[in-house]
Amino acid sequence: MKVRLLKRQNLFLVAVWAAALCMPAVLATSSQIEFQIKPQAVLPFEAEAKVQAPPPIVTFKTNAQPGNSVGIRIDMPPETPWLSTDFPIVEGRTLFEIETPPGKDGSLSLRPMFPIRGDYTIAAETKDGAKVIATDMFKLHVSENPSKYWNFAMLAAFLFVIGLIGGWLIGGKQKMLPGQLAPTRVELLLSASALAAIVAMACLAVSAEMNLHQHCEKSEAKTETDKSSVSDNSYNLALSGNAETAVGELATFKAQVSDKATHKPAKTLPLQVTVTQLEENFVALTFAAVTNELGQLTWKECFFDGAPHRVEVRIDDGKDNGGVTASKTIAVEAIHPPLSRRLTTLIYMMMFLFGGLLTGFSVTRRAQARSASSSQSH
Amino acid sequence: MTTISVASSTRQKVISIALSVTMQMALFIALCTLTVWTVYFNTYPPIHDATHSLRHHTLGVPCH
Repeated sequence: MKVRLLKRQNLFLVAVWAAALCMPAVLATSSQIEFQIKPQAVLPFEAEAKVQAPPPIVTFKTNAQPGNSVGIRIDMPPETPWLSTDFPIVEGRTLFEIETPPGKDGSLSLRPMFPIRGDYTIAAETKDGAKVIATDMFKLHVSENPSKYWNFAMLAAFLFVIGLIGGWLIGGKQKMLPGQLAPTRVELLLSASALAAIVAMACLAVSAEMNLHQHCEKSEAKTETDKSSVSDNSYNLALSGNAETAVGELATFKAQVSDKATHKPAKTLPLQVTVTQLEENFVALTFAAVTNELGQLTWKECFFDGAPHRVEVRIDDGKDNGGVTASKTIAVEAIHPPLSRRLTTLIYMMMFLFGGLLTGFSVTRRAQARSASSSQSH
Repeated sequence: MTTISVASSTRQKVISIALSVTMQMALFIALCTLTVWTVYFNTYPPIHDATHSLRHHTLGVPCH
């Protein structure tokens, strides 16, 4: 009987666990705003990935009524001076900001690509005109991609072994032949290091040449003209905003829709926004929202990758109108990471090399001292 | 005569410093550091582009 009960309990636990994995996670809820994310475990954007995972679905459920507005602001994790993220320029910046009328059920759903690990702060509020009805703050933890730890561990082990070999060779007997500048083993070590540096530079030079040709081909393929102002039988759609920006800066975009027949703003018209990075062709942001009283949809977003992006806005009114789409290509200037952040990681890497060097050196010297004392005793 | 002896002693000093174990270690570390810096942290565009994937797949390496 007990065994059966235990089995039932286990089955129940497995079912609950499976359901938890499949269902979107309700991360937090206030009296009027509920925050959900799917999938539960969010990994940051993986640059140069063979298969890019799609951005997670973030949903805010509110009690906002027609005529109210929903405001969302996603702030990126604060700066981490000890261990840099992939994109240190965007640390502590705002990723996305929008104020829009809610959807039919009072919800707002978006799929932002979270660029870095850490704790994101999400502020949500519902408003009736200028009056705030409900406000809440949510935290979203994004864990680092585990493969990066593994890759760093392998690099650390490699540097330690290189240091160990160096220490072993330098710590060995320093006998010099007449006319030599350094002991033979040390000369060999330094020559090998210089050779490794030359090979690395040569590989980089060849690889750089190949990359240069690829970039030429890509830029030729991106000569489509933007359509920032389009119209169909029912609506005129115009997309405006920053034509160029830099990594970490908050760029503003506005879609304006007007009724073609009446020339008045098209209110509460569903729009689908998609932002695509053009070098690697991944979707950086996508969301659906409706136009406000002025027939406008305005949002701000921060680009984390220094590459051209395409912003597309499509009228999604359910009619078979061919999905009229306005698009705009944004030039995003890459900003090099600060020297201090690069030096910090370099120091970590060199600590492994130095550790290996000292270990190899001390082990060799101890072995020499032992052999010298044993030969003296004999 | 004095000039020659001073030059000789300076040469001996330079040789003893250049061939010291500390200097050998420093040279070895400097060569390795230069290589690692070039591969992981150099911002020169052709080098950056060539190692972009490697940099993004290693923990703690900042990119743009």
